[in-house]
Order: sequence, then structure tokens, then C-alpha cells
Amino acid sequence: MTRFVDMLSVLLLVLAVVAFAVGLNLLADRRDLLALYWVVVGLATLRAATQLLRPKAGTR
Amino acid sequence: MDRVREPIRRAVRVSALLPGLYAWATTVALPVAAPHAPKSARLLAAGALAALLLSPVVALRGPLLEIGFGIYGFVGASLGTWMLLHATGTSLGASAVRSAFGAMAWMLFAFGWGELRARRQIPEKDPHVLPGPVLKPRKVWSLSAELILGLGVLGAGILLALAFRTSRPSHGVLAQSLALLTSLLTVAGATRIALERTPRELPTPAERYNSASSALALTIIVVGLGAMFWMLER
Repeated sequence: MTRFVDMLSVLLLVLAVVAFAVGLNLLADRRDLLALYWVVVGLATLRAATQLLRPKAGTR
Repeated sequence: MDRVREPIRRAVRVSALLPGLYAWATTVALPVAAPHAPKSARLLAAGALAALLLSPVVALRGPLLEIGFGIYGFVGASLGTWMLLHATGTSLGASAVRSAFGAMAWMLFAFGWGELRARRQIPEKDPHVLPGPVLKPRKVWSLSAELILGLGVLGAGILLALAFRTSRPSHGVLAQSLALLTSLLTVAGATRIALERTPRELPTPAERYNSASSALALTIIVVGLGAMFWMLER
């Protein structure tokens, strides 16, 4: 189970990079709002990826 | 300055001087060479070069003078040149590739002012070191940790490269800053994941899910809203 959570965090990291890349691509294609949306998706995904590994105080 | 420090200082000077010369040639000298460039900009550009070349000479009188000429004088005069050129409408970078190499040279120039450790010099053998037990690393990096960090660096590199796709001048700076921010966050995230994966006492999977639940929920909500909007738009 621990290994699965580790894998999930790495997968989320990859998905965050993909979301950022999509956002930057859309910005180049003049689709600003959609670009912003994908950057927000990337930020949320990256936050989830790191939180899976280092739980905040008080969540235990 | 003792015998050990002198070769280091010389290496520092050369490592800052050579990239500085290249940066000046590509990003300062070339724009001022344009036919309609103002004379004041040319004079200031010459001043920037003089400040850079004089920095190793004045270094003999003290490090403050060296920094004053080599950093403040050189960078300040270069900035002044660009401002004067910009005010007269002269193009600062006719070729994107040349400008990119110039920017790299400025980066190397900045790094060149850092202190270098001399070969065969062991910091622990310095007479000023406080005696104590040898500090050993608490963790050893695993191969998977290095792979994750490599993945993060690769992703950050891709993001930085993608920013150059934006051709609109008004959005160019936004794309560059966004790429820089996201790449820094990616490397920071990858580093954290890589470090946390090394053997240590991890919380239980349930605690980890619980900790990430709000971020995961936000991701799902944002993606879900986006998918719903996309379906309605079709």
C-alpha cells in the first residue's frame, strides 16, 4: 500500500508537469483563459503530489 | 592575500572576465554598432567594457574596487546603454539566437563572481575549522530518488522551452515568468518527493491520503468543472 502511494505521488508529479505544459502551449495558441485553467490544475496536482508524502501536522 | 587564495582569485577573475566579454560583445556592442545608435550609448558601452577590463587591474588595490568596477560599473554602464538605445528606438536584439547566447553569457558572468574552491584544498584542514566529530550523511540517495529528481528537472526544462512558443510580445513576459514559476515548483516538488522516498519512518497510507485529501479534492473539482464546461461548450 505504501508503495502504491509513492507511485501515485510520482504519477501526480508527472500529471502536474503535463498540465503546466498544456497551459503554456495554450498560452502560445492565444487561448489565455484555458491556459490559466490548466496552470491551476497543475498547481493543485503538484500540491496533492507533495502532500501525499509529507502530511501536515495534525493530520495523523 | 596568502599564497593559497591568490590562484583562486585569479581563476575568479578569468571566469567572470571571459563570459563578460562575450556578453558585452553580443548584447551591448552589437546594438550600439547600429548606424542610428546615439553617441552617448556608444560612449557608455565603451565605459562598460573599460570597467570590465579594468576590474582585474584595480583588484590589486582591494576587492571592493574590483567589485565596483567589475560588477557595478560594468552592469550599470551596460544597463545605461540599453536604456539609451531603447529611448531612441534601437533594436536591442536583432537575432533571437544571438540574444539567447548573450543571456547565457550574462548568467556565466554572474556565476563567475562566485568563490571557487581550489583543487587539492580541503576545507576541513583550514586552521580556522572548529574541531569536532566527522559529520556523516544521515541518508543515502537511492536510484529511484535520483530518477524522480531527473524527471522533475527534465519536466522543468520542457516547461522553460515551451515558454518560447509564445510569440505575442504582450504575453511573452507572462509566458516566461509562468514557465519559470512552474519549473521551479516542479523541481521543488520532485526534490521533496525524491527525498521523502528514501528509507525513513513514513506515516501510514491512510494518514498520507488524509493529508493530501484537500489538494486531491481541489484537483478533482477543477478538472471536473473543466470537463463539464467543455461538454456544455461542444
